[in-house]
Amino acid sequence: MDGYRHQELIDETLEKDIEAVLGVDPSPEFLPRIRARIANERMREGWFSSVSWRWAQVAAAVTAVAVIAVWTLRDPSRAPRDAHITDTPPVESTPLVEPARAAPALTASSAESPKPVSAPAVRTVRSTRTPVAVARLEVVISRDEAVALRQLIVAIAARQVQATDIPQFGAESAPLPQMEEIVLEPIKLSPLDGLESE
Amino acid sequence: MHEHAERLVGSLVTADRELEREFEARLADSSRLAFRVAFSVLRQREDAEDVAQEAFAKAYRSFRQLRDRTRFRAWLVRMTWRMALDRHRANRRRLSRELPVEVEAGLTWPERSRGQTRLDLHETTTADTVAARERAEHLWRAIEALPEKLRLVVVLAGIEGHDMHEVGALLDVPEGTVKSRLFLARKQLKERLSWMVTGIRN
Repeated sequence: MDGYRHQELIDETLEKDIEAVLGVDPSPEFLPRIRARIANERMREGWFSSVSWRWAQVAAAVTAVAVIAVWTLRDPSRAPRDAHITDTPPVESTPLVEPARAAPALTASSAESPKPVSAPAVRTVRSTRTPVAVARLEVVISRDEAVALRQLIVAIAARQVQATDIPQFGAESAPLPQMEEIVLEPIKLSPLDGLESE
Repeated sequence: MHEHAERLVGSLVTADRELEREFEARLADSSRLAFRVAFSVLRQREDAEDVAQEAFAKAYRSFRQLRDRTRFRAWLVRMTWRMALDRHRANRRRLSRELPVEVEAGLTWPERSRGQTRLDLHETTTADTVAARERAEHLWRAIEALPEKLRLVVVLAGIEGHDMHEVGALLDVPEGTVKSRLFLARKQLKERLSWMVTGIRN
């Protein structure tokens, strides 16, 4: 019982000591300082949520959109890209007909002869402004093919070749030769003499 | 339409004022609690006031988002405790850099860092006060040596006259947990302060 009383006394003393060391009051200026700080926060928050701030945000957003739009429409990358296309070497964009001489001869000689479709295309490439359109119209063929095609057009124009003789792409061409059935004979292996004797 | 808008704005303003009033009430109710929680960590009045002020500013910014406003005190206590611990660590780092200068000036860490407690309010020349200061210093060290969970329970149970239930509500733990933590904390404190206990026995 005495031990219990002692223990109680110790606990009580300890508790009182703890309360004593923790029982500190703030200075009288503490609360007014907090209130001032809160008022400061309130003002700041009030300004941020005010109508003028909202308008400032809207104005900033509109300005940003306008700047982006102007920047996009100006498209600073266009000029060098055009230059690149016009500087394309002739191998990559070979004209299909002689630009100055062949074209009038073709139109004057025959109404049936096919018009040089790709010649204006080449010109369009050089005069087109938007790179996308240029990329679609440009016909890129090898030099040999271009020469062959040019010769063909000239031959048609001179009536050396009839346009109707030329098989059309996609149309049915001459029938394919019949495939002979391949018959594979089974391979017969005769046993080796030496092994048979064993 | 115009009337409706006016009514809407009016209700918003009223809600804002209501919120302000509520916060003011909470501030008046909990300012000392926040200060004491901060002081229990920092043991320096100015620092504790700074931290408590900062905690209230933070609480004000987030007060609108606080769903259960009845839990404001618990929320504030935890926030202040964390902030005070951060400040304490920062102070320790700063002091470890400045300590050589202070030793030269004849100051030591406990003298500089100790706040004015009730035990310090008497004349410092009397032997009793010197003994009381020594006891307080030992007690502080023992409290500081406790694990964080036990320390917070001891602090909250020792301030504002909180009972177990209130401490449990502040820490968001069951009352039984508070009891067991407090028991463990007191046991450890008694072990550390054995010389004081012996003095009581004698």
